Amino acid sequence: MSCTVEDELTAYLDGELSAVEAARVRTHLASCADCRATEALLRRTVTELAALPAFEPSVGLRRRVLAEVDALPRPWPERLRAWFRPALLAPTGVAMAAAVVVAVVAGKHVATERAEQRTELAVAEHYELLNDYEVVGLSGDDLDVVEHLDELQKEGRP
Amino acid sequence: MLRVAAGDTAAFAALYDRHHRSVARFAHRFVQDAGKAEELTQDIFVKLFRHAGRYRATARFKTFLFRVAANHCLNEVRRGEYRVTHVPEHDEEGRPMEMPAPEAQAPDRAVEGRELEATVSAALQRLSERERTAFALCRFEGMSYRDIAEVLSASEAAVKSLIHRATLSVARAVEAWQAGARSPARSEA
Repeated sequence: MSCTVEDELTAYLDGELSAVEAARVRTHLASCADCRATEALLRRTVTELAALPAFEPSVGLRRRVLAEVDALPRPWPERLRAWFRPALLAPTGVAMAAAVVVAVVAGKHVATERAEQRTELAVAEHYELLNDYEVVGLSGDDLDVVEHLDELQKEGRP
Repeated sequence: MLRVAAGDTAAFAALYDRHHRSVARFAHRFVQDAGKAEELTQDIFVKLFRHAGRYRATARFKTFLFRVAANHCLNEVRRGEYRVTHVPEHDEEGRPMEMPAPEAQAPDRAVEGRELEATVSAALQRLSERERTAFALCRFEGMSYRDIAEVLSASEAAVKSLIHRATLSVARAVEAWQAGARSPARSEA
C-alpha cells in the first residue's frame, strides 16, 4: 500500500490526531478503498483485543510483595519519624524537662548550701573576733570582711 | 507516593492494591507466563518502594509506574532471565492459565477466545520490544500516546509509528487466523 495516510489510520482510530489531521484522513478514506479496508481491519482488531480476558495475578502475590518490602531496611525519614513519634517523644520530653528542672533546682540548692557552709566555716574560724566586733546579721556579702578581719585588725583598721 | 517515599508501608499497600493488576497484565504481555509475570510484578513493586524518593509530583504517577515497569521488563528480557514462550501456558486440562473457566462462557466462545489469545500472543512476540511495550500500554492499559512517549522517552511521532506498526501486525495475524490459517506462529504480519 502506498498511501501515506495509512500510517495515520491507527492514530485516527485512537482519537490521537488533531481535528485537521482527522478531517484529512476522513476525506482520504472516502476515496481510497484500500485504506478503508485497512481501517476496518484495524477497527475490528482493536475491538477484539479489548474483549480479551485479562491476566489476573494471584492473591499470594500481594503477601509476597508486602513481606519483601517489610524485610527491607527502613529509609532514614521513617527511622527519624519513629524516634520522634508522639508516643515516644512526649514521655521522653517530659522526662528530659523534669531532669533539667531537677538539675537546676539541685544546683541552686547545692550552691546555696556551699555558700552557707563557707559562711559558717568563716564564722567558726573567726568566731572569737566576731565576738569582739559584735557582728550581727552576717550575710554572704560580709564574708570577705569576715575572712580578712584579722588582717584588718593587724593594720589597725577595725 | 510521598508517604511511600517516607517508608509508609500502609500507603504502599494501598498503592499496590490500586495498580498491581495493570502491572501484572503488562508483565504478562511481555513474558506470556503467569509465574514469570508475577515475579516481574513483585520485582517492579519492590523497586518502586525502594526508589519512591525519585518520584516527582510533577509526573503522572501511572507514567512513572510504567516507566519503572517497562524498563524492568525490557532489562530482564534482554538479560535472558525470562525466555518468552510463543504459546500461553496451560493448566492440567489444557486451558490457558489466565483464561476464565469455560463454564464462564459459551464453549465455542471460550475456545475462540483462547485461540485469539494465542494468536495475539504469538503476534506480540514477533514485535520489537518497543513496539510490544507501546502496544501493550495503548491497547491493554488505555494510555495516551503522550503518556506512552514519556514512558519510553520517545517522541509522540515515534510512538504513533510504533503503535501503528504493532497494531497492523497483530491485525494481520488475527485476520489470517480468522481466514482459517490457524497457524499464527508461522504466519507473517
